[in-house]
Order: sequence, then structure tokens, then C-alpha cells
Amino acid sequence: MSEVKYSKSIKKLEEIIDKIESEEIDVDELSEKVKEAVTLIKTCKDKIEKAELEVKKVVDELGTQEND
Amino acid sequence: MAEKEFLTVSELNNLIKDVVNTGFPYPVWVCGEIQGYNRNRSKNHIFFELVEKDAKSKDFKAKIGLVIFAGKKFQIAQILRKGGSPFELKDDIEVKFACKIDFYAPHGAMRLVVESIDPVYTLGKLAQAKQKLIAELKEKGTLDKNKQQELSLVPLKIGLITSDDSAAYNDFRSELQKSGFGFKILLHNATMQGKKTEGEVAKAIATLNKIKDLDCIVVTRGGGSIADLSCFDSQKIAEAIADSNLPVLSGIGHEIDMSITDMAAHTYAKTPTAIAKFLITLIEEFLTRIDEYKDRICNYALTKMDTEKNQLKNSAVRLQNGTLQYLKDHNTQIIRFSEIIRQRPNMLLKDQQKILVTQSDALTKTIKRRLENTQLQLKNYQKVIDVLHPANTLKRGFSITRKKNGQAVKSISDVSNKQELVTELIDGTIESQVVSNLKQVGV
Repeated sequence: MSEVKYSKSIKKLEEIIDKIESEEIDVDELSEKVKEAVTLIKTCKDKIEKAELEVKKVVDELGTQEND
Repeated sequence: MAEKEFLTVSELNNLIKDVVNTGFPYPVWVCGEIQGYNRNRSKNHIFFELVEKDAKSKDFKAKIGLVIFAGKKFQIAQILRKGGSPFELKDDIEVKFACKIDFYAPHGAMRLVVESIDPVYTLGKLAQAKQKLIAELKEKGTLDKNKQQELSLVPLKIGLITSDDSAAYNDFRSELQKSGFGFKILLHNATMQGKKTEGEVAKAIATLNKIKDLDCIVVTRGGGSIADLSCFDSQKIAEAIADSNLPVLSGIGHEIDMSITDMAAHTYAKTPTAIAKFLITLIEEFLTRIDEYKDRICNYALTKMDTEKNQLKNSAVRLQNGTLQYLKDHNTQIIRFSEIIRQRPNMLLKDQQKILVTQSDALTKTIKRRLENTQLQLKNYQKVIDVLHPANTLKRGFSITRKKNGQAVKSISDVSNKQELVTELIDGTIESQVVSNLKQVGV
């Protein structure tokens, strides 16, 4: 599976949330959409955590180099 | 003694000599331009001529023969040397001689016997001529032209014009060698004294201009008298310098005055050594400048690197903070979304349930109301029906009359005489027979 961009995931998530919040959503679709939203939230959270770790790692590397 | 009828040549000449001697008892000062001196200068007695030319047109006007006797040569030379700014007797110069006017009887020739000389006159004339030439050259721009040639920052390849066996050449060369810099000298030999000088020097300048890769030309010679150096007050050399595409540097030894060659040159110095030193100084200055540039570049680079390093450090900090904030913001957003997803659907479902309950309530009410309405309507209908029912009409006293066949009688024309009829009343029936069926009047 090709990786979905974070911004795309967030956009999709926002759309679902908007729909749920404005109560435009059909009850039939609700569970399906909530499932999708949870998956998207998980994906986005993972991405943020991963990015945070990598940024810390790279910046730390920069720090080490400068001390050389 | 009887007077002769004629004179012999010698008698005549002696007579003329007496007249001349009587007429010119003392020496006189005579000024003019020397001619024919150079070719005779090495002779014991020097015979030459003094010429007067027209001041403007330079056309020949008058001349007279002179002689400097061997015995006077030393005395004249002494006077010239004592003048402070000595010059030599030579052709083309203006002089002021004290002369005895003499008639040489054996040859029948007038001649001036040089007794003394006034060097101040000649020096003045030379200076005048030089000033005039300078003014002319200045006006033509000849003296400035070579100064516009750009001298190399590192003039190492030098076209040298001097006399190859001179002390000047050795002084110049050894000074350059002493510096240790990689000077290269291309020597062009030239006569540096006397009449030939201007032609040879001018030609040498032109020749060296044709040689590739030279940085400059140096014209140099050792010190000498003003007369020695007067050959450098030359229009020809000045013009050759002006025409030169290479900068021409002059180092013509002199103490008091600047020669026209010096004036036309790009740069001048007093001696061969001085002009060599000038070149060395240029190289040294160049090297110093290079060193300075090197230092400045190094300093600049170090400062720049420090600045960049700091900037990079700041950027790294900003990057870290910015990214963390960014991720934090996104995290907050995700948490908010999670909350919404956790709560909202349940709420939504509850809302939907509420809606359903409300709707079912509404439905029940509606149906109830509908039933009530129907019942009410039915009652109304009953009332109408009741009002309209024939029994009720009969009660109020109305009756229905029918034929035997049961057909209700609605008009008099429905019946005929003697026809039997049955009249229905509320409590029973009356049987009757038609007596008359008169039409009701006005109906």
C-alpha cells in the first residue's frame, strides 16, 4: 500500500469530523466513517511520533557534529 | 720715394689689415650659431663659422669665419667648466664670443679670432630653446600621452635602452639582481651621448614596442654635464615615447634640471639605480598588497564562517523548536479529533434516538387526533342524517303519499281521479281515493 500523505489524511479526517459535527452523516455510514476516522487518527499519530523521533535524532546528530 | 701706380696683393692685404686693426682696436662680442665646428674640433687650430639666421624663417642671413687657436682652447674650456652648468662647443648652438677682428693677409680673408666666451648666453639660449620645445610638446599633449599607459603591477619584463658598455647598464642590472625578484632584461644598445642619441633612442623605443610580453621600457644613462644630457631634450625622443604603447621609464642621470625625455616619460628617476629601485618598490608593494589581501580574505573568511556557524546553530535550534511546536500542534489537533470521534457518534446516535422517540410520539398523537376528528365528523354526519331521515319528518306532521305500487306521489299530475293512494304517517297508514287533483293556483 502506498503511503498516504499526512496532509491528505488530515484533510480526510477533517471532512469526516465536519460531517459528524454538522450531523450531515447518515446513521448507516456512521460506524463505517468512525472506523475510518480512527484508522486515520492512528496513522496520523504514528506519523507525528515518528517525525518527532527522527527530528530529535537528526538535530542531535547536528549537535554532535558541531561539537567535533 | 715715388708713389707706385699699383699695389701688390700682399701690400693691399696688409693695408686692409691695418685699416681693420685701426677700425677694431679691441675685441668685440659677437653672437651667432656655430657651424662646421664638429668636423674640425680635433684639429690643432679649430676653424669654423658663426652664422646668423632669420629669427622667424631660420633662413641664412650672414656668416663669418672664426678660429680658436690652439693656445686658446684650454682657456675657453676652463671658462666653460667654471660656468657651473658646463656645455661643450658644438654645431648648432648659439654662442657669444669675444673676438678680435682680424684680416689674415696671406689669404686675404676676414676672420674672427676667438679670445673668450660668455657661457651664460649659450645656457640662456639652450634653456630658452628647451622651454619653447616644452611648451610646444605640452600643447600637443606629447608629454602626457605615455603617462596614460598603464604600468603593470608587476613590471618584471623590461626593455632596456642604454649603452651596453656603460656603468649605467651595470648599475641598473645589479640593482635589479640584488632584489632577488625575477626581473628579465632585454637590452637594446644605443648611443646615449651626442648627436646620434635622439635617433637611436627613438628607434630603440619603436623597436622594443614590437616585442611581445614586455611590461615597460627603461631609458637610462649615467650622470653627465648639461651639454651631455641636452641630447635628451629631444622632440624626436619625446614623440617616440608618446607613440609608445608600453610605459617608458627614464633614469637619465642629472642633478639640476629635468630633461624633456623625463617629462615625456611615464615615470622618471634621477639615476639608473633609482629607476631600478622604483621598479623593485613596485614589486614589493605588490607583494605587500597581496599579503594584505590574503590577510583580509582570511579574516573575512574566518569571520564569515563564525557568523554562518552561529546562524546555523540558531537555525538548528529554531528548527528543533519549530518542528516540535508544529508536531505538538498537530498532536493537539489529533487529540481533539480523537475526542470528537470518541464522543460525537454516540451523541449523534442518541440524538437520532431522541428524534425517533419524538417522531413516534408525534405519530401517536397525530393518529389519535385523526381518529377523534373522524369520530366527530361521523357524529356530524349522524346529525345531518337524523335531520334528513323521513321518520323524523313524519314526526313533525309530514306524510308520504304513495301509489299502490309504492311510488311516492310528488305532483298532482302523478295521480288520476279515483286512484287509490296510501298515505304513510308516523304511527300508521291511511288508505284513500283521489277526489280531485286541482292544480294549486300560483304554484
